[in-house]
Amino acid sequence: MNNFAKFWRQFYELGGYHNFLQGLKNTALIAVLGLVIGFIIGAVISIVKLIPSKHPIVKFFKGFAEAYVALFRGTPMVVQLLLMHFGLFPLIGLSLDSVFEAVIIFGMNSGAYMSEIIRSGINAVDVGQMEAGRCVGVSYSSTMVHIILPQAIKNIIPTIGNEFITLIKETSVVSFIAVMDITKSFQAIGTSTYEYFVPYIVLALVYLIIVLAITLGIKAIEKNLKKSERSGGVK
Amino acid sequence: MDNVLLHVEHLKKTFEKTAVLKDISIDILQGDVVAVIGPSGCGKSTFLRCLNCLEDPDPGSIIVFDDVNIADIRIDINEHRKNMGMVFQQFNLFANKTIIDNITFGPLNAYKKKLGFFKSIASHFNGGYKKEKKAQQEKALALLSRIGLEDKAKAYPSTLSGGQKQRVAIVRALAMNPKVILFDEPTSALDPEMVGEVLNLIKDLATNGMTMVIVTHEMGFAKEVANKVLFFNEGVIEEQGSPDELFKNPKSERLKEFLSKVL
Repeated sequence: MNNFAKFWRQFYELGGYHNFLQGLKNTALIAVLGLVIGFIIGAVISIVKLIPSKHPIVKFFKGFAEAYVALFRGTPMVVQLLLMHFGLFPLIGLSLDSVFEAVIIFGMNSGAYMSEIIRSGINAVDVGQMEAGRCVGVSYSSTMVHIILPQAIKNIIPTIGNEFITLIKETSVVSFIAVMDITKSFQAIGTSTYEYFVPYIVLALVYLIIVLAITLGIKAIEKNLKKSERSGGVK
Repeated sequence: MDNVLLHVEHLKKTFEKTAVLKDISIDILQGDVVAVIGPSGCGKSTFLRCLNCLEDPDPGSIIVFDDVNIADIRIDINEHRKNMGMVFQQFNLFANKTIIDNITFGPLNAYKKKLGFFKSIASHFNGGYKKEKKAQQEKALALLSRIGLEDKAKAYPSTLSGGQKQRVAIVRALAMNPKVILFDEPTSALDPEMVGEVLNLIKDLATNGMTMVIVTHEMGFAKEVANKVLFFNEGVIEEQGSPDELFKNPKSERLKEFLSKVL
């Protein structure tokens, strides 16, 4: 029996694909929810960092934001995962589903990167936009929400797409805390057949296909956004 | 005097350690069209931006508007900026909003703020917001037709020419029914053939009695439209008076020198 036949037998006939589907679901769940949580955390942090105020309370939150970013960018994701799963969560008596844990940690980690992405996006919006908003009597925060952020997000969609791709690939470390993901599902096949080459090639292809599909999706979104600004009223 | 719209007293502004404005005092009356001229770096733009506190004046400065000292950082400046339009050199139309939304953004925000948090949420459900939005859109369309751009209502700013953008920016300021409009070099970023259309609109406002403060390099325009000219130099008002006085009989050496260069 050649290697590919061995793989196929284990994957299809002996039910290895159940693991794969479970892994696909977990990978998608962790990456998508991680991105959403990361975006929310990142938006809050970046706005805190940009508030033009020297008030002590604001200063305290700014310091907190700096520390947060330094901590989560300065250590590897695996270490954060292990530290939380085997250290912090048991210490505070929190027992969560491992997938849910992974979602939280991926979200928090992504939040640190996302805050820098969003900050650069906000900084790239011309200051005149904020001034114009303030000059029609609109508050700083309302101008931020209605004028600055929409433009900033449009600027950073390609970078957010990049972050999403990174997250998808990074999910391959969640097997450290016993979560079934795509990588682990193919590892299991190798372990059963004592043949690793084919499963890992297929694994690489699966990641590649997912990433290429996302890339296409991002391009479509970008194109759509560009079009919306050019259409309407002008022939 | 009760027709004083803006009372400026001891206005100072320091950036880092550089004093950009050194003790400016001036009254701007109802219906005044004030042209602010002077060499670059003399503080005329800073003066304008201090009037609506885009730059916070130094402590101790007094700017009385709406019977309140708006230089005091404890007041809610947003309330008073509603009554004070501003037009920028770079137009600064909201890039993510259509022309009509650019114009209605300020008034609709003011409407929501007037209602307060809970009532403004409720207004989305009881039709109040919709009604206000429709009224503001009609008003915006009327303003747009005044400048001949009603067909651009649904277009985005990026599709407009510089002159069109600036006229929309002026209309956006008008939509707030301001008591005064501040112009920060409104024609400096325009191609020469578009300067006329913008200046004509400003002239039109002047004949309708709008109070305006205009920082400009267009001396001919200042002469024609303004009833008061301020010549700024090194952070002080070096000379002020009617256009006739200033342009025909400049007293200070600096103004003579400045005029000889620009006229």
